Amino acid sequence: MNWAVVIPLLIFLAVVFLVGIWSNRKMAKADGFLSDYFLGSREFGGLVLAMTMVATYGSASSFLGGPGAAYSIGFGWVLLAMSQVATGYFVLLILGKKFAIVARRYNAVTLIDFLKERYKSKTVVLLSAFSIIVFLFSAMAAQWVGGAYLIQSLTGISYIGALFIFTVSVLIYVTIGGFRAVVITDTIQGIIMFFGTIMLLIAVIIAGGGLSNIFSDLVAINPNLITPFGNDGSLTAAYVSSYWILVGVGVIALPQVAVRTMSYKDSKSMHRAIMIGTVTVGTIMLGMHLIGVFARPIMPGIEVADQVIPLVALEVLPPWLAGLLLAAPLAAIMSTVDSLLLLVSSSVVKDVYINYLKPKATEKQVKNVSMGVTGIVGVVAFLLAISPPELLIFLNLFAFGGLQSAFMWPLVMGLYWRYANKTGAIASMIAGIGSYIAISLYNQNYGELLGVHAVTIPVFFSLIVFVVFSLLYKQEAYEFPTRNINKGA
Amino acid sequence: MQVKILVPSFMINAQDQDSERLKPLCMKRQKESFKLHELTKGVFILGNKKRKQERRFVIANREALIGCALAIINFIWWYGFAYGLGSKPPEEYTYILGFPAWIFFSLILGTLFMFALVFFVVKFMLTDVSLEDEGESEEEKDEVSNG
Repeated sequence: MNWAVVIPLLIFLAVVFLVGIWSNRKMAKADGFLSDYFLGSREFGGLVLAMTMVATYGSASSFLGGPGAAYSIGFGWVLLAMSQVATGYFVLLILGKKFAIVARRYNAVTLIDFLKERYKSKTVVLLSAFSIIVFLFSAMAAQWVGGAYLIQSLTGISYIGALFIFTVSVLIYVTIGGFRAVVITDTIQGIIMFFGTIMLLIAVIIAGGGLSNIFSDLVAINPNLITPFGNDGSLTAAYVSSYWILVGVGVIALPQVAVRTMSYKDSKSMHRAIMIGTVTVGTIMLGMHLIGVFARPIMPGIEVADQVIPLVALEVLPPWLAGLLLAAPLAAIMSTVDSLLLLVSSSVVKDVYINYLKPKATEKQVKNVSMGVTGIVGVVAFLLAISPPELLIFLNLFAFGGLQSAFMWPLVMGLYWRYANKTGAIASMIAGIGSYIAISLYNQNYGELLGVHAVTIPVFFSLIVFVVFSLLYKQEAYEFPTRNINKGA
Repeated sequence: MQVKILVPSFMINAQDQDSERLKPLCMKRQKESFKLHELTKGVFILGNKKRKQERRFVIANREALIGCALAIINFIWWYGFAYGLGSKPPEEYTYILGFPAWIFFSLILGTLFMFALVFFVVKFMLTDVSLEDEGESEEEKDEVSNG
């Protein structure tokens, strides 16, 4: 075991646990366990909001899977990854103030709370809870694999051992802390990620002997690496562009991201978060993926592409710095897992348990069930991650697409179209999820349909279905309540 | 909707007596009330006549459109430079600051350009609003009475 690397990592984890304990104390004082455990009482400022969005979104796929793909595919993948800059401003501008205002009036703590109040339909709630549980599980298993890989390449212990350590630390952390703990550590992690990326990029360029050297080495390995079309020339413009939906504008419909857009304090925080978020996500995405490609001439022949970042960091940096820096991807993965865990358990607890199983549950019962469900979900994800798929990015992206097909239009149209109604929402969710799964299966066997990512067609299809069904079963135009619904209008 | 001209009645009487002297003042008042009308116009077009749409929602709708515009600009820049400059064989690439031109313009400059654009939009095009409902009621009443 390489102690020079492991010690900074352990220090980082210790800090993260302390934050969890601190925020647990703070939560004991706050009134309303649910709103605080799942949303942190809507009190976050600009920096925290930006960082938590970046850290939630920039998960294992941006630190391990993405750079790994860039390592094997070349600049075509860097180009694809840069569609993610849009997430920095798009999510907050689109959902923005309207979602934050409406969520306050609805007393909504999760995305499903919003949908429930907007459409007033049990079917919408259950469909949403179902999609969250199924798809976020896939996403979470992918993160679990990423976390274990990372610990494995740092410490040299076995995969199962690494997976176990990862699971235990995540579970302790998330069950004691809740949303506030997750968000505060997201901020610390986001800052480490931001500076870590810049540092590692510079170190890699130096190790590669400067830019012109690196590019001529890349051309010597395979000239296609520096074109937009991928190592074998198979990345088409249409395929790469379709990622603008999957990892760009479509991110708006990810429940773990959407929930954060109602957690901020005031519009000033949101404005600052748009600036900080865009710069952070742009820098991290560009930097990490450039590192992935530049690592190719420095360390050719890495077999598990997902391990490129840890291996190259250990190669080009002094060990203690590498340890500190690799805390960043581990942090990113942990915080993503934490938020996903919270979301899955909030869907089970809030949307199913309180809504339909036991509406009169006491605060204490809710608390116990919340923690219990969080624990069980974590253990199941551990079991799923024991035999991992090779490239975890694809598992993660599969989940992204599923969530987007389900939630995109019920969320956006619910906010901005007065004639959006429950029939439209139900039809659109079923059409979206169904066509997405069908097209994913088709693509696996026969190659990409129309040459675009599986999410593209379902997103447009579910929009049409939404509009058609909303108009077929037309209801009166919806008006948002003008007051908090509990205080009565 | 009828535009209420905010000129006190005594002034209208005065106008008859001394129209030349007071005219500019009346005009000014009139203009201001039109401006007010312009501001709340979105409210009345989007809602039906009986209901107004809240001022804050009008702002939110506008900012959502700004978000879409930003994404479209971003996409065009990204796509145009990448495939415009990168589609030739790699031997013919020109290099700028060590990077092939398409990578420099699309990925690096494009990202910096978006940073600048986002800063500009946040500084000059977004509006500060309250997210809470307390203290809003008076303002809403005003809007109703203007209708």
